[in-house]
Amino acid sequence: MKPTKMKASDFNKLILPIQQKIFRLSRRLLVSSDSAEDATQDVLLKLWNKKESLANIKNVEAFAMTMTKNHCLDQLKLKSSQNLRLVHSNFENSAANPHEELQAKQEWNRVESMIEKLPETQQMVLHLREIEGYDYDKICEIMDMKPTAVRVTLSRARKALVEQLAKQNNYEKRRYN
Amino acid sequence: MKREDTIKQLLDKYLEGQTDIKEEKVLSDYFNGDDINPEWMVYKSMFSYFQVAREEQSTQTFVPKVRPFWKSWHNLAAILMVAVATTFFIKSQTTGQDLGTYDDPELALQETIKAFDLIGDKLNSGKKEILRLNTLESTKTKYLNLK
Repeated sequence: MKPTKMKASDFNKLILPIQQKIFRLSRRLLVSSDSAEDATQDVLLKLWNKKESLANIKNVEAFAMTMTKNHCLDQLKLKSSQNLRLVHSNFENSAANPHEELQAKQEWNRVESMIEKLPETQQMVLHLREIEGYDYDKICEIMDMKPTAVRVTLSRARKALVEQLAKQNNYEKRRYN
Repeated sequence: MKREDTIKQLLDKYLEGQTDIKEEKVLSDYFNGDDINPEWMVYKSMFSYFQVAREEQSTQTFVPKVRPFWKSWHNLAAILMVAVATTFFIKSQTTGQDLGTYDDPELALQETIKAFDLIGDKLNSGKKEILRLNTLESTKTKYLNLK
């Protein structure tokens, strides 16, 4: 197969639409926005260096997401060996009422920190499905998993999340009543 | 009540990982709406979380910049190496001059001692500076011992 020449404009057309997806997956795994931005930059650079072979890849988006997943997992391994704690990112909400805004923000952070506690595979599958809305085929490709495994993982993640949230709600009810 | 029955069914399927994208959209719309069964507040938290998380964007734009080839560092390094190698090659070709040898062993010894003396002088002048550290040390102990 003859490698097809790819120009910067072709590359941008291919990659720019998915850069925010790369960012969001990085943010999910690395937690802090700064680390996620660095990771996104790294992944895009890697993609750029591979641009000659990109033209021959059938599903560039899945390829890029797989690359993001692997890059972030590497980063996490590096971080844990350096024993660094990641800082939690901030969240912006456009609710008009400051009280409601604060409540929404707290609620959002609560769910976020619960997802953080899930096993990495569950976090990723959940993210790819709920936030990026990928179909099962694509998730299988990105995660290198069988369809049944993806469904089971997703089901576990959803159940765990519901269970944890319910547990906390009950706890809070008991505390305030 | 009809709608809540549908939602209940969908939630069961959802938890088992059996819903498709369209059904999940129905759930998302319901739980991001206003009229929600209070039993399901847990799902409201989840689906509104997902809704907001979908909008999350980095303000940074990631555009790969195409650098001219001489600005890329490994190209630059390669160019430098070739340049240095060429310079050495040319030098070795042109400056094959004879520095000379001594025929008389006595003279050779004298000259060698002279050369060593020169090196020794330079070393000692550096050592003089180091000796000042002793002053620092003695001053320090003097004041510390007062305590």
